[in-house]
Amino acid sequence: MEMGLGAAFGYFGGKALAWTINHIRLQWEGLYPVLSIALVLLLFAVCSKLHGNGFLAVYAAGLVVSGSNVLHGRSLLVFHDGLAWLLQITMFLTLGLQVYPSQLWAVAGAGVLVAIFLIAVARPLSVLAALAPFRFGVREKLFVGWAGLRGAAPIILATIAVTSGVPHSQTIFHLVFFVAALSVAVQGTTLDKMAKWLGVLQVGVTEKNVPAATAVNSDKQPVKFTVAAGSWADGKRVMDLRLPKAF
Amino acid sequence: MILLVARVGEDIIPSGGTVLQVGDELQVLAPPEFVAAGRLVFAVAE
Repeated sequence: MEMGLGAAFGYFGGKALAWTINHIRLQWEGLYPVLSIALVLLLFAVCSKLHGNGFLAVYAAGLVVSGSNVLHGRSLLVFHDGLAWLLQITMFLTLGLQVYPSQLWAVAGAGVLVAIFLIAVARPLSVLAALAPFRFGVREKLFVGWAGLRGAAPIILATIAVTSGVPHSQTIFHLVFFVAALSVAVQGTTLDKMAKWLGVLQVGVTEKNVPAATAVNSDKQPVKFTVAAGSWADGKRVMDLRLPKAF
Repeated sequence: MILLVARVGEDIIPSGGTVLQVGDELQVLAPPEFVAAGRLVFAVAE
């Protein structure tokens, strides 16, 4: 029920968010990121108040908006990307302050065993099962299995045990932190080597990531139009031009 | 697609929310075969 409500709020909230951004006509471009943040917080609050999953709602809304043609989409993407990095750094810093290095040594032995099991057995098996319906090759699945364990989510979940007063919660927290840190050290530093070894490394960049300045030197040629009186483009927004999304 | 909009007396305006006016200049970077097919004319100047 909670997840369903969150997904529904996310889908319709995302549609509403994209529509609002495209129609509100703010004078300054810098206000659009502020607007998007405000709408996301509003969506989270309303969904949570109605006992839906607010996190799922804002996540799904983000997916919907990213798939929509949104005004100032590029600057919104850059802003939210920077904000996400800032929050991740803040989160890791805060989590790091909860850890006592002296207690890490106490869980090191068990931590290594748990990490080996997760990296070599649990994660690859779960990835193979989850990706079974999709047409990925075995090498790609193995790479996904190698790429995914590290991260802050397990540590944050472990903090729930601490705040809930679960017995031995400090040990659990330090064990999870140790495993995550080991995963970063082992998997995080060998991702590119593993990609090369498995033969899944793709060379080059997608067209969307090519800055305009470098694209000038590509095989594209500039075509110039002047908006004439009474033409279709007269009075239209640039984003409303019926240009194809991709060549 | 890369689209630049130039307006006389102003800097290049990259915003998708820019309302086009008579005399505005649109420069679209497109591959030659796309230009030859006339699809940009259809999209902009029809």
